[in-house]
Amino acid sequence: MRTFGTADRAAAEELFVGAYPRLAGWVRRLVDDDETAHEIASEAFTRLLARWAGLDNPQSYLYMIATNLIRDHWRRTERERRAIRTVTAGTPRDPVSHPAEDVDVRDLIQDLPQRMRNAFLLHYYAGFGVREVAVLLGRPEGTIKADLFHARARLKASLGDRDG
Amino acid sequence: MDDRDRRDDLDAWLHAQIEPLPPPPGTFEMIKRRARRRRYRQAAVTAAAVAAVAAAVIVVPRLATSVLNVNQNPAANGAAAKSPAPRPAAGHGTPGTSGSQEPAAQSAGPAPAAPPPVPADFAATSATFVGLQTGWVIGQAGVPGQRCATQYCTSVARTDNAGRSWYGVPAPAAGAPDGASGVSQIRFLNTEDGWAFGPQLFATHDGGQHWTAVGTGGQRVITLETVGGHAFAIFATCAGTGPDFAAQCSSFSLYATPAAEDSWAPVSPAVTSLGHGGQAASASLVLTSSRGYLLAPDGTLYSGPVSGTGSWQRAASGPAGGASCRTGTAQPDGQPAGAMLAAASASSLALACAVPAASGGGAAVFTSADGGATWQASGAVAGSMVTSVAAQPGGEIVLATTRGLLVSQDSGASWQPAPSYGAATTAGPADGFRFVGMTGTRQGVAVPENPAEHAVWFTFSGGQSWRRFPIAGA
Repeated sequence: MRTFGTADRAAAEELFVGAYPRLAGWVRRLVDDDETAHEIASEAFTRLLARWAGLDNPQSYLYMIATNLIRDHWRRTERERRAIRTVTAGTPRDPVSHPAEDVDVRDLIQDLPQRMRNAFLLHYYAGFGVREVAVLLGRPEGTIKADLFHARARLKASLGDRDG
Repeated sequence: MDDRDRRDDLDAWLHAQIEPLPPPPGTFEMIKRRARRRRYRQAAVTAAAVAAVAAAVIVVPRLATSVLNVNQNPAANGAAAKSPAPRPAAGHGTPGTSGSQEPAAQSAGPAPAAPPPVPADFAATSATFVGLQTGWVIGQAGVPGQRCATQYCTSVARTDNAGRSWYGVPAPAAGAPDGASGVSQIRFLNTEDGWAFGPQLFATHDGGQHWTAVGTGGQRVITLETVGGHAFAIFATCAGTGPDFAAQCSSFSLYATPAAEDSWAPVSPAVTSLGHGGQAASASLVLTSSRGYLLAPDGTLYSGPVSGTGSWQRAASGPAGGASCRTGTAQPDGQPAGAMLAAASASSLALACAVPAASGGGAAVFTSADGGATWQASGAVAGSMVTSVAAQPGGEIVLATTRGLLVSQDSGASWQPAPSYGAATTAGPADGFRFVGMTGTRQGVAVPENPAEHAVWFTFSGGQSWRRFPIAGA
């Protein structure tokens, strides 16, 4: 097993100090509360440190883990919501106050092709610039721009379809 | 809420700034504890898998071999019978997300229980050592498409007993030098952090188990050295084609990175965009424990700290070794053909300046005791072409030449051929050596000019005698 040396610890702590607040803030936008955001951000960092050796882009790995954990959280909460809806069938649907809290929007994002979803989440949700997303995902900037354009178009069209 | 409102709301939300959420106290300590436990669990699981695979290999070795040949880099080709699982090719792709909660890591598990053998026909082009026992060689093995597991035959082998036996480790996913692509040279700083270069740049931070391509902005990496906590390299703008990756280079810049990172940046303005009036040239880099030296194409010697802070400056006003000493064109390994620099200590330097063939060939040797501020002509060697130089405190200098190794015990005043090349033969390789370096006060390694020797040479007597060590397993 590769040892986690002094240099690794220093680098990991530096990444934690620099990246955790932003990562947790990003997660909070996508989940329901601070506690869940901390859980997901902490779990993402735990998996990152456990796999530290050989990673050429820890930050990219970190956000990919967090993205998957968020998706799993959405799936769990959607199952819970479905169960509640089954029990309370016939009651009016909760008003939508914010797109991020709208399960439909989450479903739509989740339904995006993976390459679009990753670029979309990193750019719009995590706040990375197009160039940063290109580096994180290892794809050309032009491709990222096209993915973002098509993802937005799909999302807007789908929102219109669902509410129409 | 109508469609337009929702879409506008979505736009506004998407472009809103993220409000940071600071971690509760103790979060990082908790994460470290969890990660440590997870690493231990992974190691235990993988160790169990290794045992299971090893047992299966005894029964169905052919199956295991085909699995590894599909996935493994050439360096470990043929290692199937002892290797637990295929490892990913290094430097490609990004972590995926589909269908898996955890991305496909670019990291493999722990090292296999038994090391893979060295691939057949290993032809070393470069060697590097950390300490006296552990070192790596890089080169080509086999024939692309025939005896290599992938399209590349670049291979890496490692020794942990000063060359007495070697075993294969994964290699960068690149071929032999071909213009701007490929790798041919290798350097390690410690048992974890290493680099393959010439002309592309790859890095490993797990002892060579995985290699990652490092972007250089289109520049070629012609030399790279390591010391302390940093790696330094000369990036150059070159037009050489085929194996002459360091030919026709016109601009040279010194870059550095902390060893554990891949964040290369220019070291200092004084050692950036160095040239020689647009002429094709070369440059040399030597590091000691406290200072580094860069021999520029115009003969100017620059020096500076190797701590990662502080600027590099001219070491002297005139060219090192006098007006006739220039780096000239590059050798196939990227090192200058006209002037070869070595350091015995932070202030004691040796410089071999090639003498034109029309004047008898060989080299004039100069030494400096003040960090290159002044130089003294020490002696000369005739006839053979000098390819590399190594210096030791106490006045010992070793020259690699196309006719063999030459040793001086008196700071270059007199020279003797290395008297012995091993018990089996008194002659060295027919084409001499391309590189010599000292790995300790008495120990050194030399790489033959002809990689088809399938061996490197070691000295354990301060250069007085050298022995051939085949690059092969125990």
